[in-house]
Order: sequence, then structure tokens, then C-alpha cells
Amino acid sequence: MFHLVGRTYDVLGPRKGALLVLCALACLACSLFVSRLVVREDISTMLPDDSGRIASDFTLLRLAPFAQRLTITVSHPGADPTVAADTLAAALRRDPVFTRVLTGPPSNISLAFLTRLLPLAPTLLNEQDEKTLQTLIAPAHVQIVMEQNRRDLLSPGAVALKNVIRQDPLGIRNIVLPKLAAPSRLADVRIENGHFVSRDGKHALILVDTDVPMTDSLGAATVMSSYKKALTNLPSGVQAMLVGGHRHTHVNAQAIKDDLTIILPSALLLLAVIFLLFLRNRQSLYVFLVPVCVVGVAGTATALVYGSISGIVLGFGAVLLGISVDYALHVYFALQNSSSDEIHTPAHTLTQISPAITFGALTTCTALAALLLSDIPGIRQLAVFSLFGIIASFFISLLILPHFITAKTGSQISATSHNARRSFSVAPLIALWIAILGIGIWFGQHTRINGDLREMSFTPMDIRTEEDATRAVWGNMRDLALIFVRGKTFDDALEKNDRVWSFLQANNATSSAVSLAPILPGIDSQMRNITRWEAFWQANGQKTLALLDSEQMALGFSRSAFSPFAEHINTTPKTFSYDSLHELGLQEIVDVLAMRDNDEFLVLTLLPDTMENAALLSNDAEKELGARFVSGSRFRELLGNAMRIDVLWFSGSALAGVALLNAILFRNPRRTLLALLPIGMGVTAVLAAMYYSEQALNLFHIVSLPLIIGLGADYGIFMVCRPDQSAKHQTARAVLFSGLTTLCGFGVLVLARHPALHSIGITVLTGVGAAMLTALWVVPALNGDRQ
Amino acid sequence: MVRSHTLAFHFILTLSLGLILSGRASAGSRDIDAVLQELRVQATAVESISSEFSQESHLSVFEETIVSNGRFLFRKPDKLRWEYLHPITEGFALDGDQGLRWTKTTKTSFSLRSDPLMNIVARQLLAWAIFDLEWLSAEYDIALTGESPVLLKLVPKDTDTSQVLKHLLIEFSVSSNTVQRVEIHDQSGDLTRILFENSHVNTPLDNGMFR
Repeated sequence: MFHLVGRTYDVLGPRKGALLVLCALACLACSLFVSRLVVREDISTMLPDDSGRIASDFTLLRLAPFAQRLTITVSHPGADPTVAADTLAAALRRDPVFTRVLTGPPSNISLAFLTRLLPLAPTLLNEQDEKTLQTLIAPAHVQIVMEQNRRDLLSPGAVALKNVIRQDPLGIRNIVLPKLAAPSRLADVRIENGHFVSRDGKHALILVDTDVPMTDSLGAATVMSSYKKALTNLPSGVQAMLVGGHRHTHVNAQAIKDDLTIILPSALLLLAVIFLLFLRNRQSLYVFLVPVCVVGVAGTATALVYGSISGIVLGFGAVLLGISVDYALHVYFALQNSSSDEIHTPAHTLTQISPAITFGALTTCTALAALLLSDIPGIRQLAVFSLFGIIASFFISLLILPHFITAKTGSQISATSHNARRSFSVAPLIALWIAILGIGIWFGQHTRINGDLREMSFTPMDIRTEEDATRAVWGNMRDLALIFVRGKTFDDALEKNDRVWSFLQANNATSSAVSLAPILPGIDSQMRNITRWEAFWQANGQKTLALLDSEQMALGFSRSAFSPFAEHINTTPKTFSYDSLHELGLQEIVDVLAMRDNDEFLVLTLLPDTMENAALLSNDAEKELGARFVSGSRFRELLGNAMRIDVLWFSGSALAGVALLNAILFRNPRRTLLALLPIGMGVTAVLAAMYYSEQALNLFHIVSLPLIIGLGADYGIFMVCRPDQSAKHQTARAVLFSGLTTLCGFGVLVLARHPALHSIGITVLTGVGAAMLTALWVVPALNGDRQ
Repeated sequence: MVRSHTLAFHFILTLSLGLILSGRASAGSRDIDAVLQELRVQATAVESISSEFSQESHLSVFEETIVSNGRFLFRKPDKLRWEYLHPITEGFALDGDQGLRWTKTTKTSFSLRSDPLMNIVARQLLAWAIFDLEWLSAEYDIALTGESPVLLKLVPKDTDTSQVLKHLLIEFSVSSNTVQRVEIHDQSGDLTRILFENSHVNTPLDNGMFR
């Protein structure tokens, strides 16, 4: 089969010029296409999209009240922060990108608000509240409250309080009000003159909504630019801190863009330096062009598959530059030492080296294909990009490049002299390698895995500082855990929500929780409360009215003063709905805690993201309640666990595939194992390096492992195959240059500010470095290829 | 609760305005803008106010009209005392950020920083004390219903407030520089009338009265 490569060389040989023009045109077209691609820096491409728990948890986390909202903290030392907040809010409202700007609670809570509280009482007061109600009708309390009512009605505020007191002389509204006020637990905030103000009064809060999705990088840039423009309206001395996903998206997109402008030219420059320093040959220019063509082809193919391309994946192009040049280098070195004699013709040489290159490409593809199993779309895109790149490199290197490489006159190096010059003792080398491997394995097994997605995005110090400061001022309002319930109807969801609330009450977990249950129970719960209310007043109504009568006479009230109250407790109460809370001016909190999700209704409860709450809402509790507990910390834990599985899955499947291909190629267990040694050392080195530098493996480190496996396999195969080929082929030299070029590709990734690119760079730099050294020195020694 | 109290203080502050504005807005045929402008200019000269008041509550919830008495004190920039002395004992005093609220049997201190309700009071008081005509015009339609003595009718613009408050009447004394009558008319026909007497402007007021 491998003779086909030699024959194709002979067939295409006479059409060398046409081949060159065709290639040049194809590469130019691809390069033009790639340069006009829509590059997405959307971080959501690096988040799971499967139907599993991680993906759905992530989707649900984005429904948290502050997930999509921007929060701006305004302070003005020595002056009123609310004035500055108003100035900034006015400027923000003038920009259409901001759909809603809130500096305080909605002001449509009407004067009639207090008079509407009593009608809510029958449906809202639960069993516990009945005990409080009992204390309100005690004679001593009635006397005190009636005196207070008289004083209030004699104050200038009587005009506002009169109807409230007539309807509710006992102050039942004071049991209802705390339920409605519970949402204020969302943030450590107080209301001052209609503004959200911090407890110390030094900061004012602005909440900003926008229709721009948090993960849209171009939109985020617009949002941030509009915000900066609005800031120019503030007087000097005012400080404003913006916290929100859009800011993260914007800086990440910017970081990736900046990185790309450094990485790609740097990688090209380093490769050029290597060729110029070590090859100094006009023909090496063709080798140099192979990875450039490969990136163009891979980018075009990936964009045709996905419609766009992620900036992180394109950044990976630098890596591909390093990998894809490997096959070209092997061909280059092999052909440079070919000659016109029958044994060393270019066609014969190509036939001789094509098994190693083919299996090298196959093993690399197998390792990279493991990434297609990922739940993360960006990683799958990266796999597709890499696979196209490797395949393109393989064909260009074997079928096109050979026509532009000619043998170097007098350059053939005698195998004998070559070996003699490099002979050294094998035993100490093997011992050293085993020691390093042992230490690596020992350290490597202690390497931690970090599932925190935040660690994978670029967060400059100023953002970190402002987020910490915002948290210190307003509390952890952006980091709350959520309990979701779903229902086919809104009332179904409310009933489930009631069960969740009862469960939290039973476990004393409601003190910091915010739920709709106390202010909008399901119909069944409302009916139970109404029944309890009616029973209460049947038993106590007459007695209470008589008590009121006697007090009102003593204090000079008219006989009809509290007739609205008597009428109320003798009337059959009605249930109330979602709309009732809207009419009360509480739509903001209702809309935060209840939403539609396609054909279903979602109701959520907010509570602190603590280990206690996570333990309370175990899987069993979730099943029992028909609820879903989602929190940032649990999400990180789940993602960490999934990544542990991914490490095994990616690495295991890549390793198994590579081992199988090696076994097919060599049909010899010893040689197969030898070819796998660079992989073992590469992966071990990465794990040990992570442990030594006290870093935890993140998603991008893990993604890079199959690359190390693929490249390590290439090096192993080339070096184990070497004795089968002529020494002239200079396989070791090819492996060395391949390694160097790959390290250049990865080396520039280390320069990246973005943690994703940096992680890939540092991982593969370590792994490929170790794999290359093992392939160059240990494999030949164990293979009897050296003295 | 906050809103209804706000309205209550709104009335108090309206009264404060009346007291701050001197009766020099007197007779003569003038338009309302000229009167208000004159009142604003005069308000800038006021440093303190001390006055007694008598309040008649003509409310349907009481069998009879109830008359109560008390006093009102104000000193720039942020001191206030409003108290009933008979037949109830109740009131509050503010001194900067700190305040005290009392009844016959209770006394509660508070801080504006931790009491949003009283914070609103202080902020509004300041707005009235400096006679923020812009704010006043935004809240009420003001009409000059009498020139000698000057009688202003304030009708709330806000539909929410106008659901309970029909209008306010403020009458200035011809002979002195003070307000002599304020009437609060609600939508049910009830009336609260406050008559001020012994009003003194720019007399020294002891700090202790505001603590």
C-alpha cells in the first residue's frame, strides 16, 4: 500500500509547475477565507452543551437574578453617593443598549399598598402565623394598639393612615409585611430616599439590564464602551465599579485578540529562525510553507463545518503550526539524503518513510479524535480543526512537498560515523530516565484538578479587586444558590415551591432564603390558609370585636370607626394570583423568582451557597421534592468530577487507540511498548510539573493531554522505525527538529495572557519536551539503536 | 408603611415651609409666581423657627373633634423638633444624623444611617427649609386663593397622593411674619386644622431641644 506514495510521486513529478500553482492558489484562497472569518471569542463555546447535569446546571445558573444583570457601585467620598448614582443612571438611560436602569426599588408601590395587605392575610398566614395572630387579639395588646391608633390618627399623618387603621386596627399587616420584605435579603442593602444604599451609606447601587447576551463578545464590547461613555458624565471624585459577565466577556475577548496578534506572528518568526539557523536551505522554505497552508486549510474546513471559528481554536493554530511541520520535516530530511541510485531514489525513500509518517499521523489523529467525545463545543471544534490540519499536513507532506525537495550533494552521512560520534553508555541513561519517570509518577498522582470555570477565563487584577469590593459592600448577591422547581402550569410550580419552602422551614434553613412561597403560595396552600383564617375568626371574631368596641368607646372613637375590619373578618376571603402581586407593585421580585421556560413554568428559591445547604439539598432530597439545587460551588464540584472522568476518558481512549495502531504497525510487543515510552514520559512530566508548580489541572491542561499522546506516539514510531530505514534518513534529526518546531509553536502560547491558551502552551511544552527527549535518547538506547 | 409615613412627614414639612415663609408675602395684586418668588427670597433669611400650635382633628373616626396642642422647632441646617404636649405626649427630634422618638412611656433613639424612614424626613426637611421651589412646584399645583391675608392652596399632582389628600390650605398672618393656619383636607371630607401662634423667627434655640 505504501508503494502508492512512491508511484504518486512518479506520476506527479512531470507536472511540478502546475502542482505548485494549484497549491499556491488553494492556499491563497484558504488564507483569504480565514482572514475574513467571523472569529467568536464567546466563552460559551468552552462550556458544556450536552444534556447532562453540568450543562443543565450551567443553563440554570444563568437564570440567577444577577447573572445577566450589571451591578454598578457608586461612591463619592465626602458627598452623597445617590446624587452621583442618579447622574450616572441618567447617562446610562440615554443609551439604548441599556434596557433598564434601576437606582432604587420600583416606585409604583402605591399609597393604597397598606390597605391591600389585610386582604392578603387570609391566604398568606400559615400555621405559625396563627400563633402571632392569637397574641394580637389578647386584651392587653388590643388596649396598647388602640392607644397607638389614636395617637397616629391625631398626628398630621392621619390622612394617610386613617383607612389603614380603620381596616386593620390590630396591626395584622405587621405579620404580612415581613413576608413581602423578605426579598430585601437578596443584598445587603437599605433603601434611602428611593435609592439602594449600602449599610454605611457610602455607596449607592445601580442595577442595569441589557438585551445583549452576556457571552456575546462584540455586544459586550458595545456595552462596555457605552458604560465608559456614561462615566464621563460623573463629576471628579466619584468612583464607579461595574461587575457583570459582560465585562468578563469583553476583557477575555480583548485578551484573546491581543494574544493572537502576538502568538501567530511569533510562532511564524520562531519557525523561520529555526529554519534559517539550522537548515539555511532555500528548499526549507517549502517546509516552512506547509504549516502556513495547513492552518489556512484547517481554518477553512472548520469554518465550513461550524459557520464560524472560536478565537481560542484559532489561537490553537499556532500549536498546529508546530505539529504539522513534523511530517514535512521527516520528508525533507529523508529526501535530502536521497540520490539517483536505485535504492535511494526519492520515490523509494518516500515509500520507505511513509509507514512511519502514516502511522504517526494516524496515531495523532486517534489521540485528537478523543477530543470529539467532549461535551464542550469549543473542544470538539478544536478537535475538528486539528484533525483537518493533521490530515492536510499529511497529504501535503507526502504528495506535494517531495516535488520541491532535491537531494543534497555529498550530504550523505555514514551510519557508522554518525553512530560512532554519538555513542555513550546506555545504563546510566536508562537509570536516570527510570528515576525521573518514577518521581514523575509519584508526584503526578497527587496533582489536583480544578473545575472552576472562572479560573479558565482571563480576569485582570482590577476586575478581581472590584468584584471583591462589591461583594464586601453588598454581600454575596451574585453568588447565591438556587432551588428550581418546574410545573406544567404556574400553580403546579408554586405547589412544588411550597414543598421546598416547607422542607427548608423544617430544616431551619429559611432565615437567609428568598422565596415566593411566603408571598405567593400555590392555590392548595392558599385554600388551607383561608380555612385556618375562617376557623380562627369563627372562634375569636365576636370576642375580638367586643374588645375593640369597649376600647374604642373609652378612647373616643366613633362606633363606625372600625367597621371595615369587622366586615373583613366576616367576609369569605378570596385566593389571589400572580397579578395581585403585580398590582401591589411587587412585580420585580415576582419576575426574578418566577419565569417561563418554553412550555413550562420555573419557580426558584434563593439561598446562600453554603456547604450546609448543598448537603441539605442532596440528590435524595431533590428527588423527593421534585426540585433541582444549583449552586456555583456544586457546579464547580460537578465539573471537577467530570474533568477527572474526562482525563481518564480522553487519555484512556487516546492511549488505547495509539497502542492499537502501534501494535498493528510493529506486530511486536517489545517495539510497541518502546514506541509508547515517549507518551508515558510526556504525560507523567505534565502531571509532575503541575504538582511541582502547585497548579491544579484545568480543562485546557486536560484537553492538551491527547496532543501529547499523539505527538509522543509520532516520535516513538519514528524512532522505533529508524533501524528499518536507511541511516541516511536522519530520523533522529527529523525528530529533534520536529520537537523544536512543536515547542516553538507551544512556546509562544506560554506568552498568552489568556489562561486557556497559556494552559495549553505550558502543558504541551512540558509534555512534548519530555516526550521528545525520551524518543531521542531513551527509545534508541532500549531499542539497541545505539551503543 | 414607609410611604404613608412619608406622606405624614410631607405634611409636617409643608407646615415647616409655611412657618419659614414669612407673612411679608402680603397684600397687593400679584401673580402666584411673584408671591412664591418673594417667599423663597424671604426663606433664605430664616435661620430658626419656634412656634406653638393647636390642632383640631375633625375626623369621622372620632365621636368628637379633638383638639391637641404642641410645638414646632427648626434650626438650620438640620435640626427639627415636632411634638404634641396635650392630650397626647408624642414627638420626635432630629440633630444631624441622630434622632430621638418618644411617647409618654417610651423613648427610642435612632440614626438616620440605619433608619431609612427618618432619613427621608431629614432630606425632605432640608429641601423645604431652603425652599426648593422647583421641588414644591413638582409636587403641588399651587394657587393663590387670597391676597390679604395670603392664602395658598396646594393640590397634590401625584395621583397616588391625591387618592387620599384633596388639598392643603396655608394662610399667612397679615400682622406678623408667620403662618397662622394650615388645613389638611382629605378625600373623605375629614379635616385637620393646625393654628400656629407665638411664632418666632431667628430666635436662639438651645441645642438640647433637638436631642
